[in-house]
Amino acid sequence: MADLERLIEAWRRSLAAFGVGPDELAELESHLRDDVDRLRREGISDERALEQATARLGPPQALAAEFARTAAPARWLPLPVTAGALGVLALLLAGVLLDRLLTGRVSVLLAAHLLTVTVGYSTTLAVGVLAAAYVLRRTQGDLSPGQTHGLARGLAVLNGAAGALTAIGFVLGGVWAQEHLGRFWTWDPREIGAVCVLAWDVLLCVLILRRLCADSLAVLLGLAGSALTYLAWFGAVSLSAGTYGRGSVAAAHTVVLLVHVVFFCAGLVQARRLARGATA
Amino acid sequence: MVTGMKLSKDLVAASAAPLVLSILEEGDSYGYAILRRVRALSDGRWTWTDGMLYPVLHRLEQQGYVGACWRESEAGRRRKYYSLLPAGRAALREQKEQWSLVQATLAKLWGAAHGGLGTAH
Repeated sequence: MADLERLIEAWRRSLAAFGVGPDELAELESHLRDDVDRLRREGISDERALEQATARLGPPQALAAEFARTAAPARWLPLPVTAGALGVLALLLAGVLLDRLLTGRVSVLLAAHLLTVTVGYSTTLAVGVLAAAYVLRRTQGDLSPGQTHGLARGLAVLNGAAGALTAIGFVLGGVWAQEHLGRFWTWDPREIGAVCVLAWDVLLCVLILRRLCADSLAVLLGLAGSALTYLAWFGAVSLSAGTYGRGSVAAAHTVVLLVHVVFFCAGLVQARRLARGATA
Repeated sequence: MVTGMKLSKDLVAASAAPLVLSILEEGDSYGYAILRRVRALSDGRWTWTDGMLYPVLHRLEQQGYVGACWRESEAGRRRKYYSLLPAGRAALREQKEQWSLVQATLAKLWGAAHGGLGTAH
């Protein structure tokens, strides 16, 4: 038995030497031990059983080469770039708010509320920008399934972070309103908007992580979240300030929403065309 | 990948995904059990180079067709279990249609060939 363990360890080392990762090694070892157990039950000696089982698994070099071919494809660059840009935005905003906090121009509660809501909303908007970039990228040919899957999961992470930040910001804003206006909830369009954005963030996150829709559609849905956030943020501010009905403001909002609709529809048409091309 | 029955490499590559997805449609499973199932279904005539199944499973996982998690067996051994995800179910539906078309077309041709022989006799 001790001999068997020593031989298995040597087999592991030979695979690791060819670059097979620890997760793959653990899975192959589990397989190997199952096969060795079965062969031993058939009355084959330990050494012979291991020999047969390792031969059936295949030569280490060939296995390593096959695993290397299935290694995760390179991430679609705009995703990490956008995530990095959001991080920089958060740091810059935190710096500005800290300065205002130290000079007594803003309270801790309001600073934290502004930081979380701004970064949360910006993240949901960034998901929409990534979705638009995805539509543009697909005009040059589709991403690989692995890249699209990675992008969808990345958007789920961004949406999850956006949802968490928006939720924190919403509660902080409510506490601030409680202290200054006497009520946690005042039916202000900005409050209603925040709840809608939060619900959307959670919904898209669940859709992607539970794989309730195709990855490409999930990415396109990022545009819906972005449009909603735009309305919840800039639309609600205009409503609260009573400027929503003004010609220039209404025109700006309409243009932004139209751009969202155009990208979304173009993305749907493009997906159908690419799917037809793939099955042709 | 195939050492028992001489299936061409291309055919094995094309059939690996629908085969694995179909087995996972029956329920969650792990690599070793999937291979045993393939052997049982083919009466031992279709044998894989075992290790090559895992890159296929990992590719399906990357594509979002199957999910994976480590669980402990009754014997206390850790095993990576795979389960079919909704996207995998949809992909399998599509694969079934395509393979059925291939099978039906070939069956008609080969059926006709046999019929032709019968008439000649």
